[in-house]
Amino acid sequence: MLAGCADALSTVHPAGPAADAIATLWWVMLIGACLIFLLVMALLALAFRRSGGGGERIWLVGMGLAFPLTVLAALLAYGLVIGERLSPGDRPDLVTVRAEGRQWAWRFSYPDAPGLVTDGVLHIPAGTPVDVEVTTIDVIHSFWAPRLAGKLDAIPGHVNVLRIEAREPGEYAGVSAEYSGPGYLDHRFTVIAHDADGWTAFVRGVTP
Amino acid sequence: MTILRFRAPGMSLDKMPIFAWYMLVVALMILTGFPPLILGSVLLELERAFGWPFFQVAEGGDSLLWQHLFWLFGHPEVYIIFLPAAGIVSTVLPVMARTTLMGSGWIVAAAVALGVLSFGIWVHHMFATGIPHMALAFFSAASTLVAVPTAVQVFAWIGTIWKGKPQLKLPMLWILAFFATFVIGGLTGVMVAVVPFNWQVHDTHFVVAHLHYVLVGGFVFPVLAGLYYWLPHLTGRRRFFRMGEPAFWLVFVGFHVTFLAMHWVGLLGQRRRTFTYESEQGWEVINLISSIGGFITAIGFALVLIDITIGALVTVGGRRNPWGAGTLEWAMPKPVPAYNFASLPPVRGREPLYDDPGLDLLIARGEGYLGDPADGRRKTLVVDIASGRPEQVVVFPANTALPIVMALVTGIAFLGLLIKAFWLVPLAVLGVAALAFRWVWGLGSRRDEGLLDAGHGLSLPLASAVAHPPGWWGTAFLLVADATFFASLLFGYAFLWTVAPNWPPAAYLEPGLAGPMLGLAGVVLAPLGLRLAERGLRSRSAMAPGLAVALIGAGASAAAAVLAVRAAADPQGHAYDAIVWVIAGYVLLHVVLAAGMSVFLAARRATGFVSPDRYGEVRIVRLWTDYAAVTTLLGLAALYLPGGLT
Repeated sequence: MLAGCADALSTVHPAGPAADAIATLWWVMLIGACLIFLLVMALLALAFRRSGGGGERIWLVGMGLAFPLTVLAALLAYGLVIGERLSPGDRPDLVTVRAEGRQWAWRFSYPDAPGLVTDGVLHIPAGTPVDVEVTTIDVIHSFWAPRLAGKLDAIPGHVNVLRIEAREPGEYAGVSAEYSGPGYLDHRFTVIAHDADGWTAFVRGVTP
Repeated sequence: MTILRFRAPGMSLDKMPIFAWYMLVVALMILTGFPPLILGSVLLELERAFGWPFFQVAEGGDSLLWQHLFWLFGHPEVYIIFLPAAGIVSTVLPVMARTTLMGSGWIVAAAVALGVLSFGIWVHHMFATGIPHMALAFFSAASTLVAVPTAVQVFAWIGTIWKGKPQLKLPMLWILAFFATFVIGGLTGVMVAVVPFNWQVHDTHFVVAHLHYVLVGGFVFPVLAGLYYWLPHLTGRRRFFRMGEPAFWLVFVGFHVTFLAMHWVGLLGQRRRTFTYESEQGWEVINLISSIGGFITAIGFALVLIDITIGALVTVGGRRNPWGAGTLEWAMPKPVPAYNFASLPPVRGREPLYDDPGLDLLIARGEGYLGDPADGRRKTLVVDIASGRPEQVVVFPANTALPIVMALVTGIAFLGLLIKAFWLVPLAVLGVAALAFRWVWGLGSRRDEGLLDAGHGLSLPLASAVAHPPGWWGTAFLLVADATFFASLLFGYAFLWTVAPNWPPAAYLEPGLAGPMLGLAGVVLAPLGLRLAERGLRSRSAMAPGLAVALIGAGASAAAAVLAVRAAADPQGHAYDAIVWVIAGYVLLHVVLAAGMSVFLAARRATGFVSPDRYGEVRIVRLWTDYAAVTTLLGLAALYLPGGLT
């Protein structure tokens, strides 16, 4: 089974632009967080070695206000830019698919191929942005293919749109990431990304 | 209430201990944070028991409404947990560093800022629910912003250690563990507040690790510091065995072994709320390490428990103030006498025991305020909120089992709902009403006493003989919580109206003429009646005509609410009709409560508990009546608005 492979669900082994951007964001934040942590610990350790240093202004205005505001403003801007880039927007080559969750299975359909329905396996073209319209017919689920993009909830009565993209053809693991009862553990799906010929054949109804 | 009005004389707000400041913020947050959850639970129970479809999308409800109501409570709740712990750090750390707290004004401002900000960031638990991007950006910014007041506090604490001469005693060890752990939790907290990253780690073990760093680092460790700090105060004993230090190291090391690597397994894709996983995903080693760390932590906590039990029960007695702290609790005699403090000390500074080294003796000799036990009543002072100037004397009631019995009967009402024994519920509610009546009836006095001697040449009135006694303030704060509940209800109504897919319902309520007219009459008459009653009482003429007007007003409001319910369709059919029932029921409940209080007031006047000089109870009922009138106005407006617009 695909989900059994090492790193099949890993967010730090991205296989598409959205997951790439978020993995990079993580490494940047990790380095920043480590530096800040070491700084705070160093200040704490020094506090035990000497006494009397540093006026109130330095501690409160400098370290307490200015320092976090600067770091947070930079981080927030970075996060917003990535968030904006990852959000669905119009693209000429855009492909749309529908994902419908239920307890405990996923069913996928394709506006490009009316009538075509696949259970547990989502077919997409590789190297092309794909908008997944996520919804559910019972309780809340969450659509998550970690190597392709972040997760998005499937909420009764609502349709949420998630942009995913696989750089290379291949199989990618996906799971539901919102607890939904006894079958939650095995509430999985697979994403198969086809090359151009494979996708054309799939849309025409020829199972590759 | 207690923090604002029951302080030592002279303790103005700026001289209040920092811990009390934190608890004041926490108390206000509890009053405004819990009502959304209570509303959510009420709606859920109505859906479960009677099939009113608030969260069923097919009948006009929306499951997202539950998420909003829950997190409206859920995020402030995180700070309701954290702020008392931060208060402990702010109290214990300066004593351990043998200095005073750096920038205490800043710390108070930071605590208030955290309290306010925490209500604006509930959506950050819902980043993956498909909320519009502009809203996500706003809540992401607000969520990262909470790091600023937190940073102010952390650096003020570190600056305090720099300023002083720190000692590595056991409470200080726990505070250092707090720093190391909480800073990591705060940094990962900022990470998950960044929306794209949140989309990946939401509902994975990364979040599990983060919340343990924040809750254990931000709450459990400071509380253990506080426990070891105040243990000599509670027991009057010294620590004997040095078991606390090894226990500390086991917990500290065990905790990080358990949870540090868990971040990584979350990034590798392990979801929350799963009890097992398939092998070969690269998760085994990390989970094994976590399990070992869990056992080490558990052993450490067991040792802490044993250490504290031994410390509390069998060690030798110690000095009264072993840390050399400056706050008033350390003036308490050991063992604690039944009356706590023999008299109330005048307070001149933030650390009264540093300002007046002989203060504990002055208290014990009864040379403070209210030091004369002659009349055998338990009394304390009520002070002005800002200045701490004594204003009233409060006589506490004698020992009674009524509160605990009433709590039990209240519990039975909820138990009845839970096990679906619905016949039990009205019985229990009647029991609660009867007990409440009995309890309130037993308070107060039937004679006017004039001014009482409070000591130090001060003469003060009794609390029952002023316009705004403690009961009025308590009512005001209760109504703040009640108003938050009502506001959450109106939010839920507006949310369903604008967001839920299956709206509008088949038909909105038609305003007509009778409902709005009756409602308006009630809104005007009930508050007017209470004012007439008070004027009648104070001018020593009759109070009854005013109360009669108030009751007529209550009747009109109640009739308006009943008309709305009768006009609504079946509450099981559509969430709109269910909401109409709930809003009208809320209005009806408050109108009936206020009317019952007017009747109670008439009985109190007839039996002499209320007199022209003891009119505080009239003001309390007036406050309730005004509140009921406002909710009637808003509730009916909300009910008739959609029908009136279309």
